[in-house]
Amino acid sequence: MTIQRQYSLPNCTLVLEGLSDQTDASEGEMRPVMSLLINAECHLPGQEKPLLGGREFFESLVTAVSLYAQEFLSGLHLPRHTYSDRPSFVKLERLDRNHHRLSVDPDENNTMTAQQVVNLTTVQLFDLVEAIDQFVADTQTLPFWSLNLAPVPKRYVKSPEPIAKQAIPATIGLSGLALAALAFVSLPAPKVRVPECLTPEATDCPGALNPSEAATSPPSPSVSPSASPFVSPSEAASPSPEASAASPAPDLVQLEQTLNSASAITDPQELDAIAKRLYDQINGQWKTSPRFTENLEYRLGVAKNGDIVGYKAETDAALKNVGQTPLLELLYIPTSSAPVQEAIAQYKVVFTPQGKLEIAPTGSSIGAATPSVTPSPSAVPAMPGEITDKAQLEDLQPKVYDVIDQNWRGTPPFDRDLVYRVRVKADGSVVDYQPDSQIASDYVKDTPLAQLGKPSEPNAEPQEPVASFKVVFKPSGVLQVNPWYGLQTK
Amino acid sequence: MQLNSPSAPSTPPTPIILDNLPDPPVPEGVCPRRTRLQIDLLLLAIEALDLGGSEAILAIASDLDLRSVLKHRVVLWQMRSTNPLRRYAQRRPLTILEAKALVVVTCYLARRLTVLIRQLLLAYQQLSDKELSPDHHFRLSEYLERFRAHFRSRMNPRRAGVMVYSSDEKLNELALDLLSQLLFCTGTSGMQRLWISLFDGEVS
Repeated sequence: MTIQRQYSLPNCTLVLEGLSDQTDASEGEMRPVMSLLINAECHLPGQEKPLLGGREFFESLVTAVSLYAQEFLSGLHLPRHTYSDRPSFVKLERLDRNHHRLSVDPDENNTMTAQQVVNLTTVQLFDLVEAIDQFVADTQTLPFWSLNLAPVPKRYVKSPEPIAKQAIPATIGLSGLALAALAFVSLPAPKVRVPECLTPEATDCPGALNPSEAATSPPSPSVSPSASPFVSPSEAASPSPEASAASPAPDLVQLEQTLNSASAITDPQELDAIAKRLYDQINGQWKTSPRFTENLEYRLGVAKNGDIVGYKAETDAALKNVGQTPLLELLYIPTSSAPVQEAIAQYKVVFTPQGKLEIAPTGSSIGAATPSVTPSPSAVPAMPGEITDKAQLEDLQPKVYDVIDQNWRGTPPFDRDLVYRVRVKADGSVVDYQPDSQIASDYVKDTPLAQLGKPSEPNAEPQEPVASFKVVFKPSGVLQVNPWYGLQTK
Repeated sequence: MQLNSPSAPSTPPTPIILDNLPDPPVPEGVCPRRTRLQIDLLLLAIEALDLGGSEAILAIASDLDLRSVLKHRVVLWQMRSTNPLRRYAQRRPLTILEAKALVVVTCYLARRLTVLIRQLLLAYQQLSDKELSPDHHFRLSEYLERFRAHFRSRMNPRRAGVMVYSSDEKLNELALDLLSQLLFCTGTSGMQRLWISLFDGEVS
């Protein structure tokens, strides 16, 4: 007995024709079981002729559509050969965010057929999936068919990185600026020395270092040879004119700012406390079981509050497998490209294949401060003429708060924190301000700073002593005023 | 409720509705990062579609007898905050059972919103065919705006994974992707499909 079953959705109609199993069909049954498929038709929009075929075609269609639906949901692409060893007539591929292409190869046994291609929107694709799911759920039609859904094993996944992750390396460039940029400065200018000794016989010439050696050799004898590319701030605080002239980094101003302002955390107690916090932070996020076979070693720059401001892979394996560590996830990315103002501590972090995490402060973090030419780290950032006296700052803080608060009117139209560095005179009047981010610069008209002061000119020396404050305007209307360099006890 | 499934011998009886979803072979029986992230984002999209979305989550949990897992608001918040991108991301793991409950709730809510989801996707389709921005459709732009607001207020802007969505366009794309995924959740086997897809690439 031939039976026909139809599954209709707004954009897809599936018609199945088959035979019922006579022996099984009881007399009174309203809806006999279809146990053998003869023909399958799939009507899709924009097609004059339906997609048509026998059992093999239909199997191929169901498999391809079902797997594509899974791929669509998870966003992970799966190479075709992994789920079927049989040749497939039906293929589905994504055209763009909202379009999918279904193609059906011609039947080899029937030369009359041609390849059919249907472009589907997401809603149409869903209707096709749903028609198939309704068929599979129908216990009276080919009851032995099931969906057999299973997660795709790790080893088959082609691009395990979701799109979001792929975009991360670009953003890391920003946050890592402070640290990566330091590495550039440590490169002396090899081309200045090399021309003297280009001939191979001049091997004894002192300048005949090969470029890579020259690149890693320290620029001055006062730095220990073990100094990492993570040049310590104090070292870099006085870059030789030669090095800065030869540095390929175009953003020298910003670079120098970074070098001058980022100071090293040297207090052993503090280093210890940060290390503990860092351990908890990384260990808490490190949930996948290791798939790498050797130790992954990184050097981390960590701010006082435990934020990871940058990392550097120490080995090739570490670089390659960084996706398996939680570092990317934990990396603090500043909302602006402004240089890191906070002091940083450096740690060596090792992920072992056994799942162990080791953290130790690196020697350079402590030893970095040794060259005596530079002033103590805490004094570095303060400009000449800067008010740093604790009592005076404490006195100024409420004044600055009041003057800004009283002039701040209206509902904040911005949706993120606006941060400014505001310089004030000893009497509390605002001299100038410097937005900390693009958004802060865009919305400065919506803060009282525009009337109270002027944008700061980086090169202008203040005429009288000024104090710097970090002023934060929050979308909720909260105002925060804090000394820019913190309060220093003498 | 009195049916105690032999496959999950946890102390409180497993709600029977969760037995429809198989246990994926993940290490330690806790959800991987992508699973936690995806479930929370889908719920966020539902909240952007439906003003009463967050209330509805608990209400439907009661209807489906899932109150033994989704006890109250705080538990729900803790579970959703296992999304690593959250401002107050929780370090606690998300168990498979909890994830199942959230997936069941997501799919039931999506099913209720089927008409709206289809309408919005069709509107987006028509607008993008004409190369018009989604702002031209009132209901669609409202959804996108709400989604962006929810996302920005709840996700930690310092996380690299959130930084990727710093622009309105990127967030709109995410919102539209989630909307399409919700459509697939409304289907006959949508719940199973969603559940399995959450562990793609996570099992060995």
